[in-house]
Amino acid sequence: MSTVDVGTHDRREFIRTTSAKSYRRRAVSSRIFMSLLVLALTIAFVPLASILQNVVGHGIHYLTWGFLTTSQQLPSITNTNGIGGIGNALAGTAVVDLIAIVISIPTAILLAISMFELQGRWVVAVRTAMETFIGLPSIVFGVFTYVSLVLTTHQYHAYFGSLALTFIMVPVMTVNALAALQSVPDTLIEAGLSLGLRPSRVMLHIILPAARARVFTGIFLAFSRAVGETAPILFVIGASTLPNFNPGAQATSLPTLMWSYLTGAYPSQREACWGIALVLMVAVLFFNVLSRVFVARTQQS
Amino acid sequence: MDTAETRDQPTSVAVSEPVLSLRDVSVLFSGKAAVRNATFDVQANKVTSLIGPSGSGKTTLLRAMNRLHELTPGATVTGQILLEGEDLYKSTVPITVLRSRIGMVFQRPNPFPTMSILDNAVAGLRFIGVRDKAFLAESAEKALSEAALWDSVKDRLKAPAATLSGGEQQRLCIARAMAVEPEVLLMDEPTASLDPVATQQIEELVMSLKQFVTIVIVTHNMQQANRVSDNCAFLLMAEDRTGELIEFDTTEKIFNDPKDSRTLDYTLGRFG
Repeated sequence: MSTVDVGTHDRREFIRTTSAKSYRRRAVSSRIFMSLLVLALTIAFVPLASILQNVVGHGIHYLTWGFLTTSQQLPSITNTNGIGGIGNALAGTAVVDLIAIVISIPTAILLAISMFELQGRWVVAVRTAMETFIGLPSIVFGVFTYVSLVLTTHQYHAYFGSLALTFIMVPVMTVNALAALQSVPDTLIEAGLSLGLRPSRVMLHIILPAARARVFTGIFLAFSRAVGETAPILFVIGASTLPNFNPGAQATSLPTLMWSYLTGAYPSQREACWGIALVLMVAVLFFNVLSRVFVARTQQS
Repeated sequence: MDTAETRDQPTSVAVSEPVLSLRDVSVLFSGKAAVRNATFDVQANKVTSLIGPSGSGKTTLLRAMNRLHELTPGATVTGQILLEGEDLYKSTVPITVLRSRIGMVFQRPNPFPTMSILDNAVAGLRFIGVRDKAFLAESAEKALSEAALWDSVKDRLKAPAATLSGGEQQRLCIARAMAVEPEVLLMDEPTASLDPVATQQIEELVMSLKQFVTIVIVTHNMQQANRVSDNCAFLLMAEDRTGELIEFDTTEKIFNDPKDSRTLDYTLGRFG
């Protein structure tokens, strides 16, 4: 080291000069890349803003108590604007989604726990299958449910739609819950085991509570996605022009009503799709905000 | 530098040029002070230690010295931190350039995991724009020698940094910081995660490094502060949970003849 440390001061000078020089260069490229970023952000924002503006602009005047509570109604030649409301579809959506969520949450959490506890190829296979399911177009699940349930029973039921939605929700929830469980530090698990706790106690009282915020995030994420799904339920829940909370009966949900209005004969029906779209958007936004608040609360405590 | 009017001005400290001067420095997180009104000088080519119990603001103060605390949202600093007379917080010089003059070594060894020993050593130089291969090679040897690591790694410079032991990794981090020829080296409990032998090596290294660089070291270990540092700042958490500088003096004075009784209580191990 004696051979090189003679000129410490010169070395320092050289490094400082180089640094200052390269800083000027970096400052320029920094500005260029920053402008590109802003541009990219703008490009991404324009369609988003225009969708928002259209849906809100066209849909806002539908947000009335009457529209939300009365049932749909077929326009007539004398009253082409008499399309009623979406009360029946709101009821149908509530029933279909509620049942789907009641099935999905325990299934997904149990699946995630088994995959967390069990090792080996089986787990990898299930996980890969789950991730593939997440990527599949949702109409695949609709067709599957149609072929396996509707064609065999020759009936339409609201709960068929719930089952179809389960295929959408369970993989999203499971993959998220598994990642949540795996993010719990090993030291916590070891601390629990070293107290002589059974693995099931460690899971219930240590791992799950520590992971709950992220598990809930996955649940809300999956639910937000399922609320707006059309394809899986379109062929299997039938239709009902009256509000109906019986899962065994047929039902109309918001997305399927929108679908039938889009293909409907009257301009007033097509126009009302904006209203339904806005209601769906507000619902999804509501659950997203709810999940954020919930997760923030959970993490605080 | 005229500091006559500055209160708490240390008087008994060995006379030498201050490289880093803290003037009434407070660090706040979201408006709440973590440490307040610290004033002292860091003398050139000396080791200055910051001691005090947990929560007294040692690490916060250290991180404010190269503005790393700014990574925490809501963090602000009042007062002045002068690097050779230039206010770190008001300087027109970009922070990245200033940081290259004030190195940092952390509690846990943190060599870049995907880089070899050699690449780690010259990472700073390379990424601030030094291209000259001979200069880089020379710098690597110099920095690794300064960090007392050259002899044991010179035959495996291309090996991943993760293959080194904990103590060696920490010395590699010191070499990495030294390679950019900083004027000041900040060390945040650099031996906290090391065994006694590795700790002793780092302590010896600190004492030999001060011929090249001015060192500020945070430590929980009072014996360590006593062994390695020339000057010492003692901090304590006040009633309102804000860290305060209780006393700044030569290490000798702090440990043998402190002005404040709390300093004596702490160095004698009566609390903390």
